[in-house]
Amino acid sequence: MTDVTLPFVPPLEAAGESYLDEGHTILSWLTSTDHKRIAILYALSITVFFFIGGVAIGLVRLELISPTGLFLTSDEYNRLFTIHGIIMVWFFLVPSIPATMGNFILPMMIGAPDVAFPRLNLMSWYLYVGGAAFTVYVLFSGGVDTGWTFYPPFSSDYSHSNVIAAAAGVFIVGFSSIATGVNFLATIHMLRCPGMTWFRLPLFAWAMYVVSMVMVLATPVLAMSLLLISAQRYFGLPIFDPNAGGDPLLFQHLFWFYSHPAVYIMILPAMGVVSEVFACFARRRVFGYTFMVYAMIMIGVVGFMVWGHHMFVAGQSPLANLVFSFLSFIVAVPSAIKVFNWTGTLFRAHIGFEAPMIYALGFLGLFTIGGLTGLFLASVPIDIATTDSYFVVAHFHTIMVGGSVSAFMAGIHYWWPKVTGKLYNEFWAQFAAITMFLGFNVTFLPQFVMGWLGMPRRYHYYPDVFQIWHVLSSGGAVILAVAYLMPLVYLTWSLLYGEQAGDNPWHATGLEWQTPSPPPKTNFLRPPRIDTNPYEYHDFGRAEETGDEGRAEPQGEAS
Amino acid sequence: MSDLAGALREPWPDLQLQRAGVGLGMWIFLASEVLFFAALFCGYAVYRSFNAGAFRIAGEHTEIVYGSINTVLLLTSSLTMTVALRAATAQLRKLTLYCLAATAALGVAFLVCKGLEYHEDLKEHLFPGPHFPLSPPATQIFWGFYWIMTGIHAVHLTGGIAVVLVVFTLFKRRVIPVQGSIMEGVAIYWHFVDSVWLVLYPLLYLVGRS
Amino acid sequence: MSQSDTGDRRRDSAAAWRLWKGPGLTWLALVALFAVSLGSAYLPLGAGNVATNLVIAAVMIALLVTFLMDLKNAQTIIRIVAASGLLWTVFMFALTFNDYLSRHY
Repeated sequence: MTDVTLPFVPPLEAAGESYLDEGHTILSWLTSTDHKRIAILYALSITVFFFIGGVAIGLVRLELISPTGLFLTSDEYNRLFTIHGIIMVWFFLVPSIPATMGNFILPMMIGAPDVAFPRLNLMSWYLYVGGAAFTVYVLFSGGVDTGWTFYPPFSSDYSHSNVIAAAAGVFIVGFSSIATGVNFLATIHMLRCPGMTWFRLPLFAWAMYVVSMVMVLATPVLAMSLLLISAQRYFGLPIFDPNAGGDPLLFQHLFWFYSHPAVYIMILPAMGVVSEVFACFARRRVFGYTFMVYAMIMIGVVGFMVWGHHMFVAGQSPLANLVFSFLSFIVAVPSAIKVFNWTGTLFRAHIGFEAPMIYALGFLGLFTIGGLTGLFLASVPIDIATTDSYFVVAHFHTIMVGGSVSAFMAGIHYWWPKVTGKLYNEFWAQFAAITMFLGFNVTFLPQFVMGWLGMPRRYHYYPDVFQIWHVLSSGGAVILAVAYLMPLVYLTWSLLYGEQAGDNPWHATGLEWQTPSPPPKTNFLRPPRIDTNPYEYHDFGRAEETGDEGRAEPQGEAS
Repeated sequence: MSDLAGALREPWPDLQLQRAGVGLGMWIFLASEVLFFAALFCGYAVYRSFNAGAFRIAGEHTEIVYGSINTVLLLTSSLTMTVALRAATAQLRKLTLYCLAATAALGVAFLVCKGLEYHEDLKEHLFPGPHFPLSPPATQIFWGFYWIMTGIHAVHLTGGIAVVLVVFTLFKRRVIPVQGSIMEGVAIYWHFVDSVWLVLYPLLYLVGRS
Repeated sequence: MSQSDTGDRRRDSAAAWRLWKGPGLTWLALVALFAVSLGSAYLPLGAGNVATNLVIAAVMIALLVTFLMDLKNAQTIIRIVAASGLLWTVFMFALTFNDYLSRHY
């Protein structure tokens, strides 16, 4: 019987060194197989790329203030929005939560000393860096202008830009994803501590499991689709060339077979983070844990069967449109279940409005809106009208920025004390969170409106009637930019001057909190074991307010 | 037992679990590789179902002798690889080394054969482009898939051979004991590369023979 | 390292033969099936050729996976992983062909 069988038991003083003290040279960081250090390597890399992708779209939004442009040629404009998409999808969002928080927290959460294959973990970061190197080369050599979707025949035959280098970068970083997925799946299957049965896993761990399954099964198809257009472009092999009997739509089938599950790769980890944050800051177990688990699994599986909803107007048969539309409606159901369950978790809870909770609440509302607009798009008639308009752009940004990025920020702030051993300034974090929420809405609500009114996406010049909406949206983007820069300032300040956090500043449940902050290299001071369900924040059936004053009797007045 | 100390790696608590873990990890990676090739086969299947005649014409020109020899070479290499794994588990070091070497040699023989075959194909200008000799146009699609499928398979095989040679060297120099967990992963991967060929062969070599 | 080489060698040979037997039989079956597949390709079976060849390939892979990769003795999770690769391939083919086969243009 160890100390970690009960929640909230103050752990012993850290006897061992923290993982941060195991070597101070850059080489010790670059050759470390410690999952915690690798997580930080990833965090630094994706932050750099987040800002590069942000600058790219900042320039685009600036340009769109005028219907006839300000300082970019149309060619430059195309290259900017393309690199924004490529970087944000593959070099920020896909790795974001899994490679940072998954790497750092997952092994600790399940009571393991590290991931199953630590050297493979380090290699996955180097694969990221390798892919990133190609992307940086593309940036400096003029960019790529095909859109992040690389559709042929433009990408394979007509584009005068660095298609193959860009495709190579994405191909390589895809293997980073696959390596991470393999590692997490093996870790969760084989390295759970004694007592950690499948249905005692926290929902973040389940989210990592399902997202790993999706990464492993979807990413190789992207790799093949990019390889095929590169082969057509470089060797002239007519894979998608209509002159030889090829079909450009085949590329779209293969590309979206990955890219639709990719959006679930981007949202499932966010769902996992948000479940943890809601439970902790509402002091409640997550409502309907089992349904939450099965909902994530269903999203992960059914998410592979809906890709054709990106191709409703591309030339698919009407039957294919019908089938994909129907399946897309089905896949919305588990997401809705999750939204209801998060709401149920919050209902009559003891809610604290620390920064992680503000981000999580923002996630809840924006994911709901983004998800609903996704349902509109799943309806074929509506999609035919709104395809390739700003309605689609607003939809996916609401989910990915309003949803995933909010959850990423929630997780960063929630686990910051554990990772760094320091507290961040709560006021500035809350201020940044609210600013981000406001900035997001000012940026993207106008995009829903103008999309509905007919403004096409990816257009450099546009009719005057849309200008007001573009100006509003660009103004919002400025607010968003400020909100994203603020954490850089106060989090850096926290690293340098922040208060010591202590082992469990949030009084959270979960194994990762039952160990010092920052953790020792082996994660735990003694072998952990579990014999409770997750999220034991309060006794079932008894309101927290009654405390120790005897049994809670149903009374007329609220207690 | 001190022999095995070199084989156990962090964070595994014991060697048996580590072996099981490596096996599981390699199978999961294989699932991703199945999807990688499946995308290719799906494209092939789509085009063949709409261009059956052209594919028949195109398929007659693949080098069936080279292809068949290669199939037997790979099947035999899977045999030697299986025995290598079994020998390693039974701690028969010499037999493990012998079988690993044989596997690599058979793999190299495959590549040599493939190289000769590619030379023949190029002599007949069977590469889609201006000098392509066949018609209708969809024959170029078949041959596009031929080069990509066999090329990517060859890349995977080369990777496999490299790994086998590295592992052979590590065992030979007693850097790690044969009964560690590495053989599991290597064997599973090798068999996968063989399995891919077993699908490639009928799709590329047995088309249009009758 | 030790000097009991002769005894080791005799023990090794006996053990070695046992190791070859099972995989060797599987290899014979695989080569036989390969020969059948190759031979049948020269028979005028029309669409039956593709079907025969692919079915034989599937059987060969099943043999290889079951006996050479030892899937018959593997843990359940590994069999689930192997099945998933195949199942997801089915999703890909089914939904892609659902489009192509229902196009009338």
